[in-house]
Amino acid sequence: MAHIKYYGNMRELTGKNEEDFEALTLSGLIDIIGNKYGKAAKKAAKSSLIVADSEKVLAIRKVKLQSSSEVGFFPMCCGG
Amino acid sequence: MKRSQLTLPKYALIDLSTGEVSNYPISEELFRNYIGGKALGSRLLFDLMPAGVDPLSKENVMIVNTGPMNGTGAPSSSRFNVSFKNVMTNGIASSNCGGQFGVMLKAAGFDGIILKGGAQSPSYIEILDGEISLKSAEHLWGLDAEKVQEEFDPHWGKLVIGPAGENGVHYAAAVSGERVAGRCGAGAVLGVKNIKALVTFGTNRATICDKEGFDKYNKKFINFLRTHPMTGNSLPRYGSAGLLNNANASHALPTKNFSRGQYEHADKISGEALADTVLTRNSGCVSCPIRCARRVMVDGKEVKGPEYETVGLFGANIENYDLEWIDTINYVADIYGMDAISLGGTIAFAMELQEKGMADFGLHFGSKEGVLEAIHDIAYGIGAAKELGLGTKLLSEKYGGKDFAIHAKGLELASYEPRRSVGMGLGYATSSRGGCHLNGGYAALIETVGVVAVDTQTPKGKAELTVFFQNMIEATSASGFCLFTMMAVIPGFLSNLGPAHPITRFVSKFLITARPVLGVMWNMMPGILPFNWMYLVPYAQSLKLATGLDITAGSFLQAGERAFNTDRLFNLREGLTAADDTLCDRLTKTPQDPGKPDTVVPLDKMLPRYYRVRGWDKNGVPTPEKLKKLGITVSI
Repeated sequence: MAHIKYYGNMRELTGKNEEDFEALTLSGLIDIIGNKYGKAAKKAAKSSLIVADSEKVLAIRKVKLQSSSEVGFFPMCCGG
Repeated sequence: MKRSQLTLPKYALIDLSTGEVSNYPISEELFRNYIGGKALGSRLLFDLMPAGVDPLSKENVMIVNTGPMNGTGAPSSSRFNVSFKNVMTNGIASSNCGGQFGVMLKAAGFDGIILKGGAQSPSYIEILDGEISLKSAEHLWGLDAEKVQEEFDPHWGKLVIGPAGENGVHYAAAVSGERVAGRCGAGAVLGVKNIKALVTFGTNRATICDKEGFDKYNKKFINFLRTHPMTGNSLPRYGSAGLLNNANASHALPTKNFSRGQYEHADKISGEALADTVLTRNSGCVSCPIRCARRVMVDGKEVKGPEYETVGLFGANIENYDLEWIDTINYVADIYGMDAISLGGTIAFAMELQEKGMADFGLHFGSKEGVLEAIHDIAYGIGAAKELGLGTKLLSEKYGGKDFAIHAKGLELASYEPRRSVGMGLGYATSSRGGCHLNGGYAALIETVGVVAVDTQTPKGKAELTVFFQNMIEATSASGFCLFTMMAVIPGFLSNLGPAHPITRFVSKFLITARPVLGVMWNMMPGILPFNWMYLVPYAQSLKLATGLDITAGSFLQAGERAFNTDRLFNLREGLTAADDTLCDRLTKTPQDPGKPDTVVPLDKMLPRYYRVRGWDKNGVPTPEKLKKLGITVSI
């Protein structure tokens, strides 16, 4: 089970801060999120800064997940 | 109804030693070239102050001024500026502030006030509908920045100092309402001049050259900001602290005096946590549709909440995750009148000195014990903590630790760890006023925390990107617009696609691979952008319609470049050199991740290119050709 952490409006869209999912790839994980929480959550997940196993994701399709994987979805934000 | 003539800015010069007030004319050439705010302030300082003045003497000149957009009703246009010789760096200083002082100063009939000399006794300056007078502040001296403001009419604009300014804390701030002109020691300069406050009120309305066109454009501009994912959604929803989790995920959140870039408790002090736990409501500056400011409760009173910088530097950087305590620190720093960035950076440095056994101020990483007391003692100049009021650089010269003294030119860095945002590192090193992310070009926005995921570690392209954003920020600031509006310059559709989308990746790579072309382009201003387009540079058309200045996107950016070069000349005249364009060994020689040797700031690779792109020689001195092209006639 990959461990998923949500930030920003992903928390509002899912109603959760974190949860676990069975997924072999990041693309598959985003599909699962879409199926469970709807199109808006899927869109927000895809457009987030995604960190998988401590590495920033630069191409969603290339990322494979393991049972010990940890994935964070950080919706884009700004400030400073 | 169009007006045909330019309305030149009106400046008053106040000789505080005599109380004499005179008109200080601003020529059309200066107005066209420098616009206002920080840019014009730098040029006036260059002209009015000889080299070598002690910044903590009455001979330091201070300019409090507005930009042309202040008071016009343009979105996010209430920022005013304070320029002076920098207490922290001995070079140029400017500090930008929101709130209503700038708008009120304009309503009182002045675009800027120049303060020379010093008053004989504690005084305040009253600027009411065209009349300026110097009055006794004996009864106000000693009050904190909140209480002193309560002594004046609530409708007036105020700019005051707290005890830190009175007691010569080097990073003392000037406070306006709950907003702060924080950086570089503006409060200390006012304090040494014996000026407790400037207060202003007036009934004049800003003159607008093309009212009809301006109003029409204004509607579009406001809509542009409101519909952009960053300025219309992210900033209002989470405030500037909304990016804290992203900075942490990107290893760019300064932790334990910038020794790391990630903090395990970051989520407890994030914008989300702030919104979920301590936020009472949002607020914002005059005429701002973004409303990024937070309101929180401290001791049963609703006050301004902390910004990202304060949360980062009093959170991860000292290893603390008590958000309510950070709210209190933020409030206390404001009422004592201190820059929370330099204060936080200095406290983290003192903690590391203690940890390494080099000095003991009773401050420890991971512990809140003694911090509030130390802040009080810094502000009032009491006991051992008084020394912390000197800032990191001077402390490192006395106690050692220069290799981990986190500053640039003497000014503490903002809350971005540059080893995972090397363009930000270049910006810090080259920023005119010292370790400032904004004056430094804020490359972190496109490298780490923003939507455009430019390679964080490559030195390639960083000179070109830094120069562009530094120039843009200078010009935006000169106009009186809030720099947060610049978040909307990065196309909104990219935010909707996200950093991992092929189009965003293409843009990110293009910005690096196209660097030779971009470097040439920046030097082709204004001719290369002889037009205005809201989605590229939204400010130029607004400025044109409001002032009648014949300004294009290209000439707007060139005005920023001119300002940056003027700053550079000021710094060179004061003895700062290329050797001061640097950062400490921790950031330039010690990899943040020992397993990744490139997680350092490779200044040696970026600076030569940066100087070339700027049109400076290898010693970082603007060439005569560059100065001629920019129409800069002063010399050093």
